[in-house]
Amino acid sequence: MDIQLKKGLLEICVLASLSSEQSYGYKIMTELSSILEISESTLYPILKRLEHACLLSTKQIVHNGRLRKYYQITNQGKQKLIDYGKDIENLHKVTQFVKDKLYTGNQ
Amino acid sequence: MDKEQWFLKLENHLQCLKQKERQDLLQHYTESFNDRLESGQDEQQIIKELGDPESIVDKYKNERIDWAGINSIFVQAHRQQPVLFVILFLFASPILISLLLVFFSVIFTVVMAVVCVSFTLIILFFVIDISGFAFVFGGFVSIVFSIITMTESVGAGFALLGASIVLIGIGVILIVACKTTIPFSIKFAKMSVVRIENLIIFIKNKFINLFYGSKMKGAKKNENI
Repeated sequence: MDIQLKKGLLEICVLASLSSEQSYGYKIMTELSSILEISESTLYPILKRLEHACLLSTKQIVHNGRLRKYYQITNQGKQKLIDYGKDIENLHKVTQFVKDKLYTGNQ
Repeated sequence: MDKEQWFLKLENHLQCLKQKERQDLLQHYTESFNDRLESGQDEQQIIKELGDPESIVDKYKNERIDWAGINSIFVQAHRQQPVLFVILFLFASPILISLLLVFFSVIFTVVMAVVCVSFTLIILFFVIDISGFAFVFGGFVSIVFSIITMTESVGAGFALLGASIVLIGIGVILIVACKTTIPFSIKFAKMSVVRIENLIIFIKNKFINLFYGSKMKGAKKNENI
């Protein structure tokens, strides 16, 4: 997949996976890898960028004697998801449009 | 490569980043590693999945421009080489010139002292060598005189003969001693010259590294951007 497109989609996916409950790095990783091909070295900068844009916040919680960083979605992050939700219909149209053109092109 | 080596390699590549960023990245990957171990993966598997530390850091450095901005990278470059700042600062002040003069005159003095000592040694040993020959020669002359003296007084003649032999003996000892030590002192002189040459090259390299090494590092950072 195109890198820029993938990065944008991954950002939305991360926010989506945090929409109902807080989560941590590895858990987000496993959840997303079933949807898109993702590596740890791709995920980490995305998490940092989202944190820097205040779309998510972090806190440290003790787990099995070590500290684990938990990510939570912020209100701004939730808003971003809602905006994306509004765009889903448009995205459908775009995908369908391209698909159709590809199909007629192949004929 | 094992876990410890992998993290050491990761840490090495993070040296140019600010401490907070460095620690954050290290913590993330430590956590990830431990979580994967907990979930049943083994070390080698995890290392393979996580990938090469250098590319992880390169990827991160490219991404962080988005939120950290291009300028922050130049700040890194300066932070990484405070020595350069000290040198620039010194250049601005006249102290550097006097310091350099003192430094180089000390070096020059040391060099001259070493050269003088080695030459003195060589001359000294030649002198001893020559005096050794003088002793031998004098000893033989003395033998002749001792034989002449024997015609007047046998005892005195023999005494003189004995003394002449002693003289020859001393001369031989001196010559032999010099034959072995002269090569040594010449070697010493040569070695000192080589050492001084090495010292000069070493200093030259240090200067080149400080100025051109950092210029090259700066250029490399530009390429990354």
